[in-house]
Amino acid sequence: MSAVLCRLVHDRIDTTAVLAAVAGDAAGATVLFVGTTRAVTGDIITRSLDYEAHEPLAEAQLRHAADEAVTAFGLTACAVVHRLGRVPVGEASVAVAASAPHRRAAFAAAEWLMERIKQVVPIWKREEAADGSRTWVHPDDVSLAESHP
Amino acid sequence: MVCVSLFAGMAEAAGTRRLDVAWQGGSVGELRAALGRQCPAIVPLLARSAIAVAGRYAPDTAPVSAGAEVAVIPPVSGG
Repeated sequence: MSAVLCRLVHDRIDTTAVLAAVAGDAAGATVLFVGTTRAVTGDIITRSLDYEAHEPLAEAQLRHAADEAVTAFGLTACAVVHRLGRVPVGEASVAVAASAPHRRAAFAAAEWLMERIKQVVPIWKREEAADGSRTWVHPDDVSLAESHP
Repeated sequence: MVCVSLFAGMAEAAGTRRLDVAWQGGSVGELRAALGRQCPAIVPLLARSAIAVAGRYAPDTAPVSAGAEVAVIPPVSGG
């Protein structure tokens, strides 16, 4: 079994379709994680996030990470969808679904996959604050060194 | 020559999404140095970035031939 759905989209994420993609008779547990644009980060009020990607590399890295998760956690199925472009407060930027025979593997896989996305998948966000300022986010603690073949 | 794609804050710092670099061939590390000479504004972020050649992450020791498709991948912030 391999990852069943790995996709970049430019419109709203259909979380029902993400869940449906990992359904199966072998699954006893399904975890759906949805990351949404948050309005408040410390003192900063965010109006929206704007995502861009190196799309071919990002899709390949998403698929590779999802396939790794299937193998490492013994998943029944795994799906990941990331949205690009403007994502207003309250809307989903990413959805990860993992199904497994038992819940621990499904929870652990969803968490692990989100960490991988934040480390190796070439997607970037620009925060637009309520005052109109826009800032690309390039975290100091992200290292792509591990992703080298 | 190689055509280098830039993204996000890297494109913002360079003021362009694409840099054409005179290039006869060499390593990824040498290409990094050439990029920095051509566009000093990107040097701080370039030091924290990965390089992808032909759609795959490549270490500094990997070869880059003339005409290769290269992208600079600054620290990611998806999710």
